[in-house]
Amino acid sequence: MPIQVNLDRVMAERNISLTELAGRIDITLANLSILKTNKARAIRFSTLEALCRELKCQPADILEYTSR
Amino acid sequence: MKTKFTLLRYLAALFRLTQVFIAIGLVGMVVFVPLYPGLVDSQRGSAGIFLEGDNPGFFVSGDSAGWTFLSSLNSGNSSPFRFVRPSGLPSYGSFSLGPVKLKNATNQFSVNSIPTPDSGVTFNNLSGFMTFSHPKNTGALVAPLTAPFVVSMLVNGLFLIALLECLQRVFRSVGEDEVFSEKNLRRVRMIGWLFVISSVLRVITGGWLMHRMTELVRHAVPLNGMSIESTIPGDITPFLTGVVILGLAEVFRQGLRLREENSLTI
Repeated sequence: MPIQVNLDRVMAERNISLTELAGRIDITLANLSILKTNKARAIRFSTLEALCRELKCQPADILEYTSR
Repeated sequence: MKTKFTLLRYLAALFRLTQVFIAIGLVGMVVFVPLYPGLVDSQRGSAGIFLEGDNPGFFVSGDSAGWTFLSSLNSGNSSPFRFVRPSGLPSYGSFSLGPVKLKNATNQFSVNSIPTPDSGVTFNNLSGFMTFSHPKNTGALVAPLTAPFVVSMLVNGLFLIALLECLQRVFRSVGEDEVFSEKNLRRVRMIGWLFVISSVLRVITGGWLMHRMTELVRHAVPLNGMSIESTIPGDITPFLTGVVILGLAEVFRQGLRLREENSLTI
């Protein structure tokens, strides 16, 4: 998909695991995994806000547009 | 969360019960019909085969070992498990069939009216159940009707059982939080097709039964100038219902698409 989710990169930089992040932002582990592996069709703003808040980053750090 | 699906669970259970009822009726029919001649000829009971709309029905009344039983299964228009007796149940030793529609030359039957003989009262047709009291050979009456009757009952009964099964499965899946799924879409479409196909089959088998009944009456009853009218019984309602349901299945398909998209929205 043209929109890539670079969640794993940011998570590695912040040294936080999937399980811990899921617990902090009240998303199921399964859903977070779907997001991380680029299988999601859409993301809610509330989810994006929670991710940026916990990972202390900008949406651009997590989401990337590739023209392919 | 489970409480809001209680109605669906009760309905599913009710449907299961109805299926059992219908299955028992079908088995009962297959068991009873060969017994009709014996029952009637020995005057230990009465029996009948009839057609209501395009739905077949039968009744048996008998006296066996001191207790009387009466059973009648009419997979009728609105209620598949209604037990009905045609009114005017004859005394034992008779076989009934119908409906039969009689016409005479003028297409009218007149009756002397009350209170003045000048004013006329006419029936435009006479249609009803015909009862052979103490027939000479019940076997000859029943034999031509058996095949179309059994086939007709099977078509109706199996259609209902399949319909109830599909509905049950849909309701149960909703109870388990699986509403718009591929499986349910298939079930809804199946329900639509069941209505469509069964309505066609019912007209065919009902017409067959009606034809046999008419022929039987023609041969067995001296009509004295009256003729019997045989019309093909048919009801377009289930066919239209099926088409409507197939249309709704397309709506369902959209629901499926929306749900799939939603489930992948994090």
